[in-house]
Amino acid sequence: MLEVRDLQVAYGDQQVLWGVSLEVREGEVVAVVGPNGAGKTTTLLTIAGLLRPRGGQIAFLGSRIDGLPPQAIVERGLALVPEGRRLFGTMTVRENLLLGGYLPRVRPQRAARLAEVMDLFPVLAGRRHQRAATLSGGEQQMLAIARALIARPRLLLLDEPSLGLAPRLVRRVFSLIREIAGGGVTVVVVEQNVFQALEHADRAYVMSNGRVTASGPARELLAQDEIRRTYVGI
Amino acid sequence: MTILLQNAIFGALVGGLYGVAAVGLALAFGVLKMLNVSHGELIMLGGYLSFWLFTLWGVDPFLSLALTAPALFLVGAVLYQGLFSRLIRFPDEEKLKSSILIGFGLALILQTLAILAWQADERAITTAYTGQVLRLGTLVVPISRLAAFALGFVALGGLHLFLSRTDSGRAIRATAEDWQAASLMGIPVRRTYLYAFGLGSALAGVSGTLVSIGDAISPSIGLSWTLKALIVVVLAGLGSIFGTFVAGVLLGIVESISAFLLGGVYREVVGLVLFLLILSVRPAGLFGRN
Amino acid sequence: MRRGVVAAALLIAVLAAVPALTSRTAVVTWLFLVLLHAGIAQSWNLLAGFTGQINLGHAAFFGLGAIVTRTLWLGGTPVGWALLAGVSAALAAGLVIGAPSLRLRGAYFAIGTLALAEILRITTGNILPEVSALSVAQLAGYSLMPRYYLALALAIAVTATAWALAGSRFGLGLIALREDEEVAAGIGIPTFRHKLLALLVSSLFAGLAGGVFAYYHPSFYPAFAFNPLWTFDALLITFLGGVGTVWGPVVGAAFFVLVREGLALRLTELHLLIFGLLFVFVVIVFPGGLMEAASTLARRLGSPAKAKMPRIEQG
Repeated sequence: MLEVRDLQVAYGDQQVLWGVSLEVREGEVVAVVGPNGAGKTTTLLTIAGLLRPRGGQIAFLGSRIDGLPPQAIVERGLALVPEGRRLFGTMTVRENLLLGGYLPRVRPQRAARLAEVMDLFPVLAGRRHQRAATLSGGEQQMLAIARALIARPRLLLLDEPSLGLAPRLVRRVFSLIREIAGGGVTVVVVEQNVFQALEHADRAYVMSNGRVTASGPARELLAQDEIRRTYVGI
Repeated sequence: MTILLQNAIFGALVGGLYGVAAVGLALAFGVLKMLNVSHGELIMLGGYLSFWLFTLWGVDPFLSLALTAPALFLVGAVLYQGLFSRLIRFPDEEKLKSSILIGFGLALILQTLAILAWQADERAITTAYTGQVLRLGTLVVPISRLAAFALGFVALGGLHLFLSRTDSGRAIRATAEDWQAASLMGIPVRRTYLYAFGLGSALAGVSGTLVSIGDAISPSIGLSWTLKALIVVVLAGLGSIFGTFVAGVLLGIVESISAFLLGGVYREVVGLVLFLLILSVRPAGLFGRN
Repeated sequence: MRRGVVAAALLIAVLAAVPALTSRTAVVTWLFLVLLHAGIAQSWNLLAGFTGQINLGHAAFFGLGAIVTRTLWLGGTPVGWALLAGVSAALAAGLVIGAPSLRLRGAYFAIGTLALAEILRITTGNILPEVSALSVAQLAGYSLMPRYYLALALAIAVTATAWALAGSRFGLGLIALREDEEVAAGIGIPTFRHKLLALLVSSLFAGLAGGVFAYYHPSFYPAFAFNPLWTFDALLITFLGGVGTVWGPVVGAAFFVLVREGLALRLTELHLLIFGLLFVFVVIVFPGGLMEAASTLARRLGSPAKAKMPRIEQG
C-alpha cells in the first residue's frame, strides 16, 4: 500500500535521512521505533508532504506521492496525526472535527462521519463546544485522531500518540489503534514507547541516525536481546 | 458637557470606520503574517470608486458598496498574486519585514497613480441626504454618518458569521492558526491566503466607501488611514472582530475629545502618540489574545 | 583592500576638485544632490544593513536636523553651531524613540518610527506653517561652494563610518544579532545596547544630512523636511545599491539622482511611480541591489570580485 524507497531528506544543508526504505501492506499495523532524533518524525512528515525529499521515492496505492503537497496526499486517503497533535486550539472540538472533513469528497458524508466518530469517542461528544486548547492531554489526542478519521483515510500515520500521556491513557490509545486497524484502516505508528508499540504492531522498523537499522515482525524484534536492552530497558 | 458628548458622538461614528479599516488590515496580518501598509491606499481607492460611481452614473454611495467590495477584493487578489505571494516561503521575521517594505513601495505607487489619474484635489460626495441630522435633545447626529457606522458594523457582523459558520471561513481561521495542520486537513493554503488577502482588501473597499459618505477624499489620505488601522490593531490585539471595532470607536472618541480640548489640528497626533505609548507599554493590545 | 582605499581616495580627490574644474552650476548641483542623498541613504543603511532594523520614520531624524539647523541659522547662529544643534536634536530623538521601541520585534520598530515621523510632520506643519525662506541679503550672498563641500564631508564621514563599522568587532556583533538575535545574546553580545548605538549613529548622520539640506535650500515648508518621501528615497537608494554594503548607498544615490534629474521627470509625479515600481521590483527580485548585480556580472565575466570595498553582507 505504501512504499518508501531510499528516502533522502535534508533540513537546509543538514541531511537527516540517509536512504530510508519501508513498506506498509494493507490492513497492517506497522510501528517505527527508535531513539530521539532518529528521523522518525521526519519520515512521517515527508510521507505526508510537509517536507520535500532530496532523493528517493514514495508510492501510495501504486502512484508516486513524493513532491505532492499535503492537500493532494490527504485527498488520496493518507492522513497524518502530527507530533504534538497540532489541533486548532482556539477552535472548538466540533469545529476541529468539521475541518477534518474539509475535503470535497468527504463533505457530503461529513455529518454522518461526525456522528460515527462521536460514538467511537464519547468523551468528545460531551465537549463538542469546548475550545480544543482547554481539553486534557488524553482528550486532545482523541480529538486529533478523531479529526483524522473523519476523512476516512485508507492509511493513518500517527506520530508519537502516547507522548505526554499517563500510562492508563497510553494503553487506551494503543487499544484504540488496534480498534481502528480492525475497522479497515492501515496504521503506521511512530513511537518512543517501544514496548507498547511493538506489543500492538504486526511489523516494525527500527530507526537510528536517519537510517533503518532493523525490521521484521514486531514479536521477533521484541524478543531480540539488543532491542530489549537498548530501547525497552529489560 | 453637551459639547463634549457631541464630540464623543462624532468621534464614535468615525471610530466605527477605524474599526472596519483595522479588521481588514488584521485579517491579512493574522492569516498571512504580513502587514500591508498600503491598506490605507486601498481604502482611498474604494472611496474614489464610490465617488466616480456617484459622479458619473449617480450611484448612491451606500449602494456602491455592492460594487466597491468585490472590486477591491479583485485588486487585493491581484496584488497578492503579483507581489505578496512571493514572500510566503520566507521565515516569519523576514516575511513580515519584506511585506512592510513592499507595502511601503506600493503605497507610493498607488498614491501616485491616483494623483496622475484624478489630480490631488479633494473630492466629496454630496447627496440629497448629506446634511440631514437626527436630533436627540440638544444633540445632533448626522444621519449619513450614522448609517455608515451601522453598515460598517453590519459588514463586520457578516464577516464574523462567515468566519465562524462557513467552511471557507473556518479554513481561513485554521490557516491563520497553523497552516501546516490546515494543509493536513486538505485545506489549499495558498488559495486560502489569496482569499484572506482579498477579503481584507474588500473590507478596505468597504471602509473607503463609508469614508467617502461622510468625508472628502484625496490621494493623500492613505497613510493616515493605514496608521489609524495600525493603531487600532495594536490597541485591540488580534483576538476578536468585535474587540477591534470597539477599539476603533474608542480611538475615535479619544481623538474627538482631545481635538476639542487641545485644538483640532492635534487630532491626528493624539492617536499616534497613544499608539507609541501603547507600543512601549503593552504591545499585545488591550483585548488581544496574542 | 588597499586597492579600495586608493580608489576611494582618488574619488574623493576628483569630487573635491570638481568645483574648480567646472563653472557649470548644474554639474555641481547634481553632485551635491548625489552626495546629500548618499548621506541620507547611508545613514539609513547603517541601521538597516547592520542590524536588520527597518526604520520607516527616518525622515524624523532628517527633519529634526533640518528644522533645528534652519531655525538657528536663520536666527543668526553661525551655521557650524546650528548644524551641531541639529545633529544633537536628531541624536536625542534617536534615544527617545530607540530606547522603548528597540526592545520590540522589528515590525513594531518599523511602524513605531513611521508613527513618530508622522507626529513630527503634522506637529511641525501646525507650529511652523509658513515657508522658511532665505532673506534677500542671504540669497545675494549665497554660494553653492561651501554647501557642496559640506555635503562631500557628510558623504565621506558617513561612508567612512560604514566602512569602519564593517571591519570592527562592534560591526560584527551587529551582524551577528541581525542574523539571530537569540544566539547573539547567548554568546554574550549586549544586543539592546548594540542596536541602540547603531540607531544613534544612524540618527546622527540623518540629522547632519538634514542640516546640510537646511543650509542648502533657499526656501521650503518646514513640514516638508519630515515628508515620508525622504525616508522612501533613503530606502530606495539603499535597496537599489545593496542593503548592507558599504558602497551600495553611494552607487544607488548616483543612479537615483541621475535618473531623477536627468530625465527631468520631476515636474510630473511620474518619477515617483517609476521609483515605486523599481523599489518593489528590487525588494522582490533583487534583494542584493546593484552591487550584487555588479559583482555577479564581474564574476560571470571572469574577473575576480570587483567590489571596491570589503562588502559586509546582504541585509
